[in-house]
This record gives sequence, C-alpha cells and structure tokens, in this order.
Amino acid sequence: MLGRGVKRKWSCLEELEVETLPAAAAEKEKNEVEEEEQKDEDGLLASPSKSDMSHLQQRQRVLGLCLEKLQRYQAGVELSLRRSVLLINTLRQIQEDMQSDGVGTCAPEVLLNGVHSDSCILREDMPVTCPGCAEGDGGNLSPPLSPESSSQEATSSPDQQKSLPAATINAFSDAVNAMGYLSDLALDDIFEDIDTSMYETSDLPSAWASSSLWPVSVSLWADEDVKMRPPGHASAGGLQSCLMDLNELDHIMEILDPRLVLTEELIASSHGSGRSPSCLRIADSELAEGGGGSKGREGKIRGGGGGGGGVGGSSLRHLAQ
Amino acid sequence: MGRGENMGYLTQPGGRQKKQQFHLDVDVEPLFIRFLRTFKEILKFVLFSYTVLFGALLLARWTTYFMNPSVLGQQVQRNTLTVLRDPGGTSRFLRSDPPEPSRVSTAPVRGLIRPSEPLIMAGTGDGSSDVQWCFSQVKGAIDDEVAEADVISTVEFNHSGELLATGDKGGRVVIFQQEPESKNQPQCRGEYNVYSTFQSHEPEFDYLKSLEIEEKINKIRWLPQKNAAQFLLSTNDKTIKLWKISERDKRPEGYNLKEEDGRYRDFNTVTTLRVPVFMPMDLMVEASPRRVFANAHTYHINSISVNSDCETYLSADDLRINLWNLEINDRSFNIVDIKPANMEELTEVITAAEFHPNQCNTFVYSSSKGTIRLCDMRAAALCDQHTKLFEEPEDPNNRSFFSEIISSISDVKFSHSGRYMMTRDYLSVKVWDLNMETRPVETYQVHDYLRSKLCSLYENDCIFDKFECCWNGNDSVVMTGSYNNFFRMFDRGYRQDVTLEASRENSKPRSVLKPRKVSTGGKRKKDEISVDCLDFNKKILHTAWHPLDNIIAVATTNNLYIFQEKLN
Repeated sequence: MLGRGVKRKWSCLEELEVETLPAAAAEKEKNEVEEEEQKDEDGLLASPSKSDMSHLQQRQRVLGLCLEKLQRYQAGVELSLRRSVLLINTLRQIQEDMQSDGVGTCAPEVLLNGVHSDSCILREDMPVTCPGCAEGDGGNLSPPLSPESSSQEATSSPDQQKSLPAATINAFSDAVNAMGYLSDLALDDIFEDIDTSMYETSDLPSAWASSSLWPVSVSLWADEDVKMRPPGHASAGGLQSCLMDLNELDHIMEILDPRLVLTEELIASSHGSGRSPSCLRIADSELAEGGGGSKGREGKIRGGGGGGGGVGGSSLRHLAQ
Repeated sequence: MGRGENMGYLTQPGGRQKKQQFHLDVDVEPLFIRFLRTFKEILKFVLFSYTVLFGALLLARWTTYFMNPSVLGQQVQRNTLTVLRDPGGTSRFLRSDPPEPSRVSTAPVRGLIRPSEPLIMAGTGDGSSDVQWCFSQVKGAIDDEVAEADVISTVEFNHSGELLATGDKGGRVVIFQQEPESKNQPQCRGEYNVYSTFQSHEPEFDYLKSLEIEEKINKIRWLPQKNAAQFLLSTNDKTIKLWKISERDKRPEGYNLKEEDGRYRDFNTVTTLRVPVFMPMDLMVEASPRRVFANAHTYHINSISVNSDCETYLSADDLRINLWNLEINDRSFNIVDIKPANMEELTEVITAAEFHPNQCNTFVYSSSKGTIRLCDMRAAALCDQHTKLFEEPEDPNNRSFFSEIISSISDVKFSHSGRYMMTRDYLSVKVWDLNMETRPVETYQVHDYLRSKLCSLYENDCIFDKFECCWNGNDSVVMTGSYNNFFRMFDRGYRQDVTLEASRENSKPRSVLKPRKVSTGGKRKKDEISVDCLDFNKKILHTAWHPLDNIIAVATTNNLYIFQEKLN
C-alpha cells in the first residue's frame, strides 16, 4: 500500500488560532523551511520583496489545497458541481497568475527554486510532485496528481532550467483539463495503487492532453448530450483506445486486487442499508484522516471511503456490461 | 344732567353716537372708568389675536396630523383619504422605502402589515433599535452528538405564519403549528408545537451512474392556501414532491353492514337501518404526496419557487431551470440552460432562483460568479438572454485568490413588495433595487473579520458554506446567519445591526437575547469573543421570519430555535 507521504496534522481550530498572515503557513515546519528558502532566495536575486514571496507562498498553498480538494472524491455521492467549478476557476486563476509571473520580471531560476522548494514543502502535505522530488523519493511520495502530468513533468525535467515554468504551466493546464468535473477523479483512484510506469503509454497522456475527457465522463455522468459529441473530435480513436484501456485496467485491478473484492461486498451491503459505510476506503489512510478531519462536514467523512467505493462501483458496472 | 338725559341716551339708537356722547364727557369721567374702557379695548384686541392664532395653529396641526405615519398605521380606515389629501406625501407612502431618519414621527409603531395593504409603511418598529428578542422555544435533541439525519437543511414559514416547516438531511419534513393566543397571556404569542411529521424523500440509488441520491431536503416552499388543506413542495437533489397536509377530525360511525372495528356483520342479523353519522374524533393530520415531479434534472436541484399565479413553479439545478405546472408531473419546460456545449468551458453555475412575488412573468437567478440575471418569460421561450444583469464591479483592493469563491451568491430573495431583492454571498448581504443594475443600493457586511482568514476557511471547506437570508414582513429588516451560532439582523431604515446567538445557554423562557460582538482588534473587551475562538462547525445557514409578526426561526446544526419579540 502506497503511503501518501507524511501525514499532516489537521485541526481547524488550531489553524485558525494561529495568528499569522494569510499567506504564511500555519505549521511551524513550513515556516522553517520557508525561512531557509528565503535565505536561498536572497542569494540568488537582488531583492525579492517579502510580500512577493508571501504571495508566492500563498499561491502555492492555495494551489496545493485546490488540487487536494479536487482529488478528494466521494464515490457514491455526486460531487457538487458548484464546488468543482469554483475550485477549477481558482486553479485557473492561479495558473494565470503564475503565467503572468513567469512572463514578468521574476527570473526563471527564482521561479524554479521557488516552485521546487515549495513543491518539496507541499510534498509533505499534499500529493503534488515536482520532477526533482519524484526522482528522488520514488516510493515514499504520494502518486502524482494525475499520471499524465507526472509524465509531462518527467519528460520536461531535462529542460528544467529553462522551461520548467512552461512545463509547470502545461502541467497545470493538463491538470485543469484532467481534473475536469469529477469523472477522471475515479480513474485516478484506479491508478494510484499500481505502478504507473507500466501504464504510461503514449495514448493516455496524449489523449488526455489533447482532447476532453467528456466521453469518459459519460459512463459516470450519464449525460446524453455528451454522447452526441461529434466523432470528428480530435484523437477520438485515441480516446476509444483510452477507454478500452481503462476498462481493461478495471478488470485487471479487480482480478489482481483482493481489496476491490472487499469493497464490492461493502458496497453490496451498503445498498441494503442505503448508506455508504464510512470506512470503505482501505488504501488511503491519510485521505480518510483528512476527510475525517474536516469537522462538521459529516458528509465528507465518506470522502475517505469514497474512492474505494468508486472503484468498486465502476467494477460492478463493467461486470454488468 | 338729570335722569331724563340718561334715558335719552338709552333710547337713542347707534352705539357710535352713544360713544361719542360719552366721549364728550371724557373730562368729567372718573379715571377708573377710563381705565376700564381702555382695558376693554385691549381685551378685545387680545381676544381677536388669540382667535387668529388659535385658528392658524389648528390649521397647521391638522395638516401635520395626517402626515404622521404612525397615525396612518393605526387608523387604517383613513388611509385612502390621507393619500389623496396630501399629494406631497403620497409618493413617500406609496414607495415601500425604509423611512428617512429625519421624519416627524416620534414613536415608531410595532406595526403589523396585513398582506392586503402593501402600500402603507407602518413604521419601522421592527427595527433593532426598538425590538428586543427573547427566547421562545427550541426544538431538537439536546445532546451534543449530532445524528447525521437530524441536521436541519431548510426552514420555511407558510403564508399566514401559522405553520413552520423544517426539512432535514434524513428526508423528513416536520411541520409545527402555532397555538392560538390564549386569553390568559395576551402578550405572549402562541407556541409552535409539532403538527405533522412525514418522510418526504427516501435515499435512492442511481444505477446508471452508480451514485447515491441523497434524501436531504434542499428546499420547502408552501403554496398559498386555497382550501382547508395545506400544500407544500419539497425537493431533494433530483425529485420534487407536492404534499397535501389535511386534517381529519371526524369519522363516520353507524354503518349498517360494518361493525365499529371494521368487521362485516352478518346481514341476517340486521333488523333496522340507520344512517351513518360523522362523529368527532381526535385530530389526525395526514400528509399525502399528490404529485411527484421526477427525472427532469441532471444536476442537483438547489431552488424551487412557486409563481404568483399559483399554477406554476420553477425548479433550478446547477445548469438549468425548469418550469412546471403544478398539475402536470410528467412534463416541464426548460426556460434557462447555461450548459456550454463543451463542458470544459464551464465557469459558472446557477446557485439560486426565485419568481417575482407579484409579476408572474419575472424571475431571477444568481450565479457562482456573483451575478444576478432577471428574466422575463414573455420575451422568449428560452430565457437564456437575460433582461437585466445585476453585477457589482469587483473592488480591486480586495482581490485575492478567493475573490471568486466569496463572491458566489448562495441565496437570492425578493422583498415582499417586489421592488428590491437581496443576495447573500459569503461575507456580505446586498440589497438591490430592481431598477438599478450597476450596483446594490445597500451592502451589509456580515462577518468581515473573516476576510483575513479566508485561506484557513478554504482549507476546512467553510468557504463553500451556503448561507441563506430572509426579509421581515414589511421589508425593513434583513436577517442572515453566521458562524458560532451567531445570526445577524440589519435594519435598513435605522442603519443598525445586531448580532445574536442561538445557544442553549440563553434558553430560559422569555429571556432576552443579549447582543454579541466579535472583537477584531487586538484588544478584547469583556463579553466580546475573538475571531479565533469562533466555532466554525456551529453555523446557522437557514433562517426564516414570520411573514406578519416578529417571530423568527433559526436553525443551528440540529436544533430549531424560535425567538419572539419581547412584549411588555
């Protein structure tokens, strides 16, 4: 079972009681690392202002939170479209902000280091990888936020010095596209347990990068309009193969992974009770903890269990086909 | 002279001559008489001037007397007369504006507006300057363990205010009825007791998408009462149901062929015939679903709104709004569709929609980007082109990564008069005049101290909370909820606001609620609570105000608090 990195202590009141600037991180270790990072920054650039750095820090933090929230998927209950739209809009805003920063006066090295260090910071907390960290800590890291973004980042790592800003921007746009509206989140759960190198074919990332995921979303979202999508869509063939790959993967996962069988049983029992049990999710303890940690949102407790349920649900569906 | 001379004076006509003759003898008159004469003249003059003054005062007082709206409110039957008589004042009273503070009236009236008199402003006695709120009742479990199914998800008074409906996450609807005012305590308005409880929606499973459909009641809307039964619409994420709540207090007795317990009699034993009669029985309240409006929404339904024509209603989900006829449950018209052809281009969703209270062709819907669109159904069958777009330009100083999220409108409500509408976004309440699209006429900050905490609130998802807001009966006060079980009231006329708390500690009967304050600066005064001590799990999302009276229902997580105005 892959761990998701270091667990983050979660306490709403703790967060709010700390009298910090909104940009500053709430946790001490974050502060320490950031202080170190700031010292590094000073050596590189003439005078990065503190507000700029805190702006960057806040941006990174918000970015990480955004991605984490988008990843957190509750199977069995439809995600609120409003919430997804707001998260994606925030993500786009951050992306534009980063783009404008990249075009602006900031030197690429600063951005690189900033992003690199920030990603390293975030690595401890959220499942976002950066190229350097991915190579270094293969096993310990949480899986990449989406397989194609990791492959993108991996391919772009040789060109880190010059094109990392561009690469991150591409990664973000891919992430934005990939996140879509909830459909692919289930697919992430399928992939998280397996070694992505096996499945990093050219089809998947190109299909996802270039075209929309809405045909895939049809199977989960059952939106008739989307099914009518004109076949002249770019790389539809790639999509079809992509879909078939996913179906096959589902089957494979079902056969290989005994936990999925367990989740199926749990789902079957949940049909009777009418409620999804709160602990369907076996794989990811951190997400369950993160889900349980948001107090007062009892619906979110299912978030921890949702992913496994989603996998089971999709497997059930494929069985029925 | 002699007596004859005097008599000659008396018989001669003409006062003037008499006086002249008197004056001829002025030298002879004693001083006292002369003094009395002048005194008489002076008195005449004084009397005359007082008469003039009094008459002028009467005239002035008369006109201002009818300008006084407190008098207007109390003396209902003279209204039309007054409006006609004072053209200058007519416009003021036909508008349902909040009154200007520079008014003549002294004592604001705790007026109750009857729905048949929309023109008259009965003063702003409901303002927080005068009204003190005291605890009346609390409904719900006392223990701190909150069962998921007991979380209240909607609160709504009916049109008369006699019934109060609540919906919860478990799909149940509980209706409370106000007891009639007792003679013993004329000062205390009736209590609300449980009238009916029924399971409105059941959890469903969408087999096509492998998704569970929550049974949580998103909205309840009452229909205006047409007959003895009450009707309400309740909706969860996908299905709307029309419920009929009827009372039964009589049952037929005395059947010929049936025993009282229902067993059939052997008709050979029937010797006489009798006519069954209705006998009184214990009151039984029945709720039966009359219509089920299903399978019309792909996305989650967030609003329903009954039209003023009482024949149609709209239901809005994230991307579409449908128009239904209350009688027809298998068809609906789609009147708004903002779904883009390519879902990747989706940046905006519908968050709330409501029909105009008086114009049956007008409705508004709000979006997640902070815009409100007013549409006229007469313009086109599909109202994608708005008639009016209400949007306030963003303040560049307050721009942050969360600007869009906090500008997302969570609730939109028309005023009872139909002139204004109110929107609630995360940090503020805005009152819009339907005639002005560029900016709201009033903006009230609900909890601006949270602006610096937006990042933390984003982390714990509180930034996505959807607060509701409501008007009072005469549109002079607006109310909305906040965190830590606080709720806020804003008086539009007196420009005052108050923060109150719904908690068990203030739950003594008729105990007056003390205004609360959140300290923002470093120095914390006594009785103030600091921002960091606020409990963000205790949030008041749903509030309702009695349409005719100063009674409010405030829903915390699983309890329903009813507060009344303090009457002496």
